[in-house]
Amino acid sequence: MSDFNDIKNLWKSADNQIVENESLDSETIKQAIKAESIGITFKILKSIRTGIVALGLSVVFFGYNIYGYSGNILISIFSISCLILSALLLAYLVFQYNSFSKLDQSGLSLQDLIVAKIQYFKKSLFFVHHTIAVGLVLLIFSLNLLTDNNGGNYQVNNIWLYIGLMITAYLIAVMMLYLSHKLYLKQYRTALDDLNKSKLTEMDAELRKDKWIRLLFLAIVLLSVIAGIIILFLKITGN
Amino acid sequence: MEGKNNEIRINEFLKLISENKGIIYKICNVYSNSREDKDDLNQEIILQLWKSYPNFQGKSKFSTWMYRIAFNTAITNIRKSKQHPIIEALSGTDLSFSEKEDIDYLSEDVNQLYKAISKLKDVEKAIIMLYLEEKSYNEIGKIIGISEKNVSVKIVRGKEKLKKLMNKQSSHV
Repeated sequence: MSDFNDIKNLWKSADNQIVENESLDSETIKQAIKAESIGITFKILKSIRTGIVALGLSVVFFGYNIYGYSGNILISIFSISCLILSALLLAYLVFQYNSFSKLDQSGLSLQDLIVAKIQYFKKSLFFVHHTIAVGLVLLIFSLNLLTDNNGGNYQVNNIWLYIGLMITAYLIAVMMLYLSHKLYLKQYRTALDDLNKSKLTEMDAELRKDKWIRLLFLAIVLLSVIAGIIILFLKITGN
Repeated sequence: MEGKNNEIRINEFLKLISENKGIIYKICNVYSNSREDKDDLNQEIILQLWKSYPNFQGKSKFSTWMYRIAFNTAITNIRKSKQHPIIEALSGTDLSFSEKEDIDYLSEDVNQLYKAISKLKDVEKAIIMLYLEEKSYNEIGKIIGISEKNVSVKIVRGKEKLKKLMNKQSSHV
């Protein structure tokens, strides 16, 4: 097979064999339209849906806690703050869900789609992961408040253990989400590298500029979790 | 009224897809290693085409648009064989590696060609496939999103690579 024309002829000869042997009737197409997506996008959307459910439940539970702790101003204010935070994060995740689900249907060329996906991974997905993790912590916290409601009072016995558990839950969630999506980023980067190396270098330089924003965001989230719990603890114990 | 419009849209879509089914099957054959993967990818491509169909404005040929969506789906989506991303990320191994199965109704030569193409990189597969389909450099550039010059460079490299792979395979047979 030294001449490329032989390869071309071979490729053409397969056309008839494919058309004759592969049937794609209306019923098969209709079934495919009804089926659920199995790709990367679907898996990321599934993670975002988990976050949406966690935050949705947090909103409900914090709402219930406002009622359950109506006699305790401190916990009520804390619950209202957490409810507002949960609602805002919920809105953010819904927005991200819509944006990401539309990427595949945008009709972009392959290179533009890969660039858009890498940018989404490097920028938005970082915040999405942390938002989902914060959502899970808020859900745990709202459930704690709900189940440990002792006649309108709430007791934290060991503040440091409590903070440690909350941060551990948060970090585990972020790590699991990051690891489950890391491979996809690698795949996209390889594809873009094959397509256009200069585009990849250009994009990397652009993304590096935003690195400090992500670090700042992470520091703020962690400090907020610690500070919030400590303030609540100090107020409860009256120190 | 809306229901009727939707029915018209579905019928129009079904007709266009049936007329161009060869594109879907060829892409599935090139990007899948097994019958199961092929069926999954086939389903995924049709689903993405359907979801993207409202955005098709007829500015380009339907087949150009179809190639674009189908390649995007094949390249930017991992199929069922890569359902263990955490294990893969931790171990750094690619669990999806497997030898391409023969397609029963295709001749041995054609199966050899598909096997050789499957050994190319994902993007190279798309470019070589479009070249074999006799698409112009301009059209390939529009589908992939790169310049005509870049297309020609990649075609030269891809052709060389494919020829080597075919020669290597025929010397093994």
